[in-house]
Amino acid sequence: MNKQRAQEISESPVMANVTYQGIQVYIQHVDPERETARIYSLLNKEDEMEVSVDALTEY
Amino acid sequence: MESALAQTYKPLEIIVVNDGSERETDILYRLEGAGRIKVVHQPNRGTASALNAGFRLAAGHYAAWLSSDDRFRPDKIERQVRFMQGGGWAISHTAFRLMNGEGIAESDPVLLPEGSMLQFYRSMLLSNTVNGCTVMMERTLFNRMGGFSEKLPYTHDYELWLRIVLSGYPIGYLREPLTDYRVHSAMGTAMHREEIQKELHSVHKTYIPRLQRLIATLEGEV
Repeated sequence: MNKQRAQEISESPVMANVTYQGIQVYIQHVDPERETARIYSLLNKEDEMEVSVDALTEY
Repeated sequence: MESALAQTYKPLEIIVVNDGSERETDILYRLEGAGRIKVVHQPNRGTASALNAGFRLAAGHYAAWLSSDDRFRPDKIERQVRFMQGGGWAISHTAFRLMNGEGIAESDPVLLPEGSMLQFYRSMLLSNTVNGCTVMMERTLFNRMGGFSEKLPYTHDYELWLRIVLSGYPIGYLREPLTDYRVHSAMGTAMHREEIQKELHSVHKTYIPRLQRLIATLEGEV
């Protein structure tokens, strides 16, 4: 995913269909300079992470 | 717990399941002594077991739950009960707000896309789109389903929603944020991710073909 799309998704309150390593995640925030995104999954609330936006897939 | 005690809906039964924690037990005993809450203590057995223990003790028609670090909006129970009674739902969930470590909730709620129940079922094919801390359900439905599977540390709620949907109970959605939900940073990288994937794979293997058949049948009716 590119950073513009990741940013668009993070700014919209509506949950989008995004996966990280096969697990559906929600994008909380995008850092455009570092090109990273803060993501979390409803499967484990102790797994909020910062990952590269490249690693995110929209389906 | 403060947010449960502060609910506008009365009468309310509040059950605290202490899953092996030593923290703030004084407050629990004080509130229990004052008759405001019921407390169950159990050695750390995980979320699914704690939720099942809470349900075993519950007496009300509907039940809702939250983790110790989440927060209900004051009118959460009142509004969700009204929603469930009005729509005849046996189970429902709501929108929510993310909250940071200081307890400040984000201004924008997290919402599901607007759409039909069929679209919601399609979203459930991939992963869990129902936040358990926003769910309210009839206690009898929970018991009929046999509660949460205690063998599934990460997917017990997703697995229960799938069983409920497949048993013919649609999950109503109240598109208003009534819970503040706190997520925590992973201390390492990709904590538990492999275990989660393994569990998710096994849940998918069991339920996805059935959910696909249900969706195909409903699509045929449209």
